[in-house]
Amino acid sequence: MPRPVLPNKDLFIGRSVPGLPNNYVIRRLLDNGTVGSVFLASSDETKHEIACKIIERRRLTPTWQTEVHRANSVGGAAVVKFTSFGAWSEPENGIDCVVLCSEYVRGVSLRSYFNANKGGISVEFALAMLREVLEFLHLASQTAIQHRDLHAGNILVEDRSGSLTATYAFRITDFGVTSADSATVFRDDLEQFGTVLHHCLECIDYTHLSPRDKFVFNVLKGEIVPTLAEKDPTRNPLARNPAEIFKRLQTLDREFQRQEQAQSTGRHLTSPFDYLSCEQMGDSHGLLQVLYSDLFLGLPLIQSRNNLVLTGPRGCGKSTVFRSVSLRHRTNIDQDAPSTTAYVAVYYRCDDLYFIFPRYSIPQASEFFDIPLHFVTASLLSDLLNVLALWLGKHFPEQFSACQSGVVAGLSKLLEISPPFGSPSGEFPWLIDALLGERVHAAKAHRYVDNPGQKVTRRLFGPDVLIKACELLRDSVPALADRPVYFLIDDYSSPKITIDLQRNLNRLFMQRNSACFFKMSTESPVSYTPEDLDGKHYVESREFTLLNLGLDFLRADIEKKLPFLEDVLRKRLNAIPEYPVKELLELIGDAPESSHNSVALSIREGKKPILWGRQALASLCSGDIHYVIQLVGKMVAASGGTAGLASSQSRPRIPPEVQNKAIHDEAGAFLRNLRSIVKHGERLVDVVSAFGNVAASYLKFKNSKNEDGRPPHQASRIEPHEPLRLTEAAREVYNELLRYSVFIEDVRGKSRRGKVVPRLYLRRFLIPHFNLTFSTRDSLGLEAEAVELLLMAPNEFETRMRLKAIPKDDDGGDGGGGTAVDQMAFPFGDEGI
Amino acid sequence: MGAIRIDERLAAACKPSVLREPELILQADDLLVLCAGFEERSVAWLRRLVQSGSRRFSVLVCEYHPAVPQNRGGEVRALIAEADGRLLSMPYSREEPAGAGERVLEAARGMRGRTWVDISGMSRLLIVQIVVAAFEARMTVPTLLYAEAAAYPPSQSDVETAAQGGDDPVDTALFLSSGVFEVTIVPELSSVAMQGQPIRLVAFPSFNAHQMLALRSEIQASYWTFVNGVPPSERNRWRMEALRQLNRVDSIPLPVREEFEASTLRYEETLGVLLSVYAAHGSLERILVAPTGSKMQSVAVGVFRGALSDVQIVYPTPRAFLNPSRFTLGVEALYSLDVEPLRLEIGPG
Repeated sequence: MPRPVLPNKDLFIGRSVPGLPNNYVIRRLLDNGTVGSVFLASSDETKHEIACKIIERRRLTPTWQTEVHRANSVGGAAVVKFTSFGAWSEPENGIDCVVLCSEYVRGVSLRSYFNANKGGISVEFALAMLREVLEFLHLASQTAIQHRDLHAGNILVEDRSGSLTATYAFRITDFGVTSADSATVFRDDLEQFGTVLHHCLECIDYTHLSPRDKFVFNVLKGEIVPTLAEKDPTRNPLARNPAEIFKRLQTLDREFQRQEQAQSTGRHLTSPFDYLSCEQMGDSHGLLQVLYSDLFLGLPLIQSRNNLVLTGPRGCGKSTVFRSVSLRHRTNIDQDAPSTTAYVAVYYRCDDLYFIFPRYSIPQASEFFDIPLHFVTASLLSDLLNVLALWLGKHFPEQFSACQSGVVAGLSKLLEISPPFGSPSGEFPWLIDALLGERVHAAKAHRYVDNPGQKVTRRLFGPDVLIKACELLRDSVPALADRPVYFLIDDYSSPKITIDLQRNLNRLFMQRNSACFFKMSTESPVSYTPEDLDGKHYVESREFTLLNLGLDFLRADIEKKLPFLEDVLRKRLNAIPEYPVKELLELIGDAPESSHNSVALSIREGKKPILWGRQALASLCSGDIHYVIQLVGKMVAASGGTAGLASSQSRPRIPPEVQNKAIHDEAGAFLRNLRSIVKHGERLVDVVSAFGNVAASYLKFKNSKNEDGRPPHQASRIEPHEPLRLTEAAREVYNELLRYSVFIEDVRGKSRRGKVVPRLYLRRFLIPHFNLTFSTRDSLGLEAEAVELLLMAPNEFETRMRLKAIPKDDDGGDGGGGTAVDQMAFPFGDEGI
Repeated sequence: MGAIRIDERLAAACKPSVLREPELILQADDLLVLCAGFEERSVAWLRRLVQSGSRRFSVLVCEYHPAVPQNRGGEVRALIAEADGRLLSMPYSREEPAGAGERVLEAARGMRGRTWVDISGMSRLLIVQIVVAAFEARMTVPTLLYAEAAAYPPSQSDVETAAQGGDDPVDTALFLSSGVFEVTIVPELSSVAMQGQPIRLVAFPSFNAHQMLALRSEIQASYWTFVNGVPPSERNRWRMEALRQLNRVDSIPLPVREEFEASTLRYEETLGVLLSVYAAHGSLERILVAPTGSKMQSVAVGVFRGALSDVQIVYPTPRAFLNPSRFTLGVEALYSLDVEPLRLEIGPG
């Protein structure tokens, strides 16, 4: 059907609108509709603008005035109401029109907005549009009025930039006017609005949404759009009922939280030995709560107000403890009462950094230095605001409501970002969205850093921004006045988080400030660098505290280790109501006490001691809780599983021989897995085997010199006599040994020559594999060259060092010189401590 | 009203099928991209094109570094000379593969004719990179060419022998690569979406069980989706279960594991699986895909990631290759595939 001819705009522009006081002059054409054109008119006298819709009279039905009245009959602020209407008749100029005057709305139609923002519309925008239009539809339905032409061109997005509450509003205009010369078909408002919502959703980039926004998007798409189109209330109770649809929208956030909680509580242990790593628990806060023990060694240090580097073997519970103390988790499990919340902890897993900055190296141009900082600041701050909105909203709703807009204003000034058109400007959500957008910006900027001519086009967050943001929060929100923020940075480990990336980010993470603290967990002492790209070296115990859980475990008394292990296993055994055993003691029992020396003597006699019981289990642990749980699981499996335990009449339920076999099998499995590690797997196995075999030969043929009884030499650690001077290749192997915790390094060791040297402790569960004892008395003392040889040529090291008989000058006494023939050729020394 | 989300549009779209033994002649101004691997099939398409009269076209050879001496570079050069063609080359570093897809497309932009990409000798990561780069740059996805091999070692008896040789099948599964170099991430296949959400890793069991080991060790996923490849040939069907065993799929407990089956040749099955995983889990989980399956499955991964930028690609890169005789033998059939309609289906955005 050809489009009806519209009034010639040139006939009107510059002319005064007839019949209006204060001389309103038509200034310009705003838009063309189906039956008329809309112009902007303004009065110089009143400095006021209005919109004038001009329609040729011949195109109107005789009842057009009645139809115009409909717009003014609907309550609420959304409808753009007519202020006057009248005739514009100038036969000499061929004008026979009607002019409808209304408030001028500064903004654009939704149609234009959609076209200009494909892929850029937010879920908040869609929700706000939905709410406002539903309110209009509800008010209209109360007066039995239909708009009859509710398409995207007739919904205006009013620009309210600068408003403290909302930067936009939706306005309904241009009620359907019957045209005399067209077969006008009036459309159903709800159905038409469903189409508008559908188009709106098409303009949202789903792939960039947060989980909450994805949830809302899917409800709008799968539920609200069909509901708007549905005409039969018997098929859908919300159909034809804008008020009920509006109420449905109010439930979305609660429903999302419920869904998250359902997901997080939906997982249960099917066996006490499931979910060995924290990552496997996913977002299951309930499971994390069940399995977490607050007897965790090192917990007080983690909770104290300092910057911390936390290290320990894989599976020692670093992630578990970090996640367990995070406020998001505490909120999820309802243990976030202000009285027990001394800090606001935000958990951040470095996978997120690794995916965006793999193989990061410091760029040539300094203008790009801050890209990773920008990314990490946006990431941490968005998460902090998210969790604060939840927590403050729950426990301090009035305070939060009172200070939210001030905080947002302060942060937006600090971050130099403004609320986008179409966002409620005084609330956290737009700021969180904007920060998520900054992550995208940083990731894109990083991709093209090496491109010639690449420039930084926007300000990047430097090392000061996050700290200033925390200070602002502390100073603006009374509830945060004495609750510092802890950023828990998990798996901050090279090579994934490269040394260069760490040097860059340490400019932030090593800052000392009372408003926030940074706690980094790292796989090993060598996967972290204590310096930054400005060349500053950070000193342990001054700038940060180093907590090595592996070492803590090695040093801890059995009385401290065992209760923790028992607690961890008790929680697991009791998490399954019908599980036949509830306590570790019942499961594995206690072996009769025997000294390390007597065990060593029996090994020397060719016997193989049977390892079993709680004390042995605690002795095997180097902090690697994961291993302990897995080991007990293997013991149970070898005893016939749950059914076997239930029917077992023996005490302990798992016989000692079964425990012993599982212990040895696990050590063998570890070495097999170690062999498959990229790059140095074979070498690592050779090194640890060489050390283990040499130590075993010492136990067999050599006596400890420091003991009256001349007991067998029992070394499970290496002690260099001098600080190490390793070649680059040897250092790489050394670092890999520490990375996989084959050895656990005590950097503060002191050699018998009084030098500060690193001591290397063999991982505890490898000790039985090499037929050694858990004694920590002796060590294998090595010159620096011998350590180099061990790392670079372990077989040769073993050949030279391994004792095959009692050394000739070993009178059963000191053994200090190590006089075996091989050792004469390679005088490393082997003194015990 | 139709589907709104990109994944729904892609799922609803009619998927082009692979064409078996299509007739194809390349002209001057056309470009063929290939990798001169050491498998016979890596040059099968080039040979076919030359034999069927294609002349004076250009060939962009992606040269892998570190280079493998047994590759068929000489054969490729001879065939290009026979066709009076033009040889272009592009280095591809396995250790620094970032941006390779964009570089291939850059070469294609310089041509006035059409571009074909022979994926037969390509790494899975490069296949994904090329497809994604085309989606991102909103340019025509080159037509993909593929040569199916006649035989795919190892044999069933090799696997059974190896499996009997040790107590842990993972330790003896050194059939194709001697270990894994690392889990490679490239920025163009990375995603900032879903920060802090639990990770779901979608992986394809392969005969290089170390790839799976590397993924398990490095990625620390909360959930696992395994796509078990179903070979098109009945005589190779035993491989699916063998791969499950070798990769110790069952060792990941069921609450956190799900499994699907998809053809190793008909990419649309894999695409369907990926889209269903996305629909089921993409709103609450961060989805990572490791394209360790067949080449055609990697095409599906490329289309999937090309459409959905909130998906992260990770790839365990082989450290070194074993004796090339362990790789595929002969050529069974040639195929072509045009996924451009899928790119158009999801729109320019």
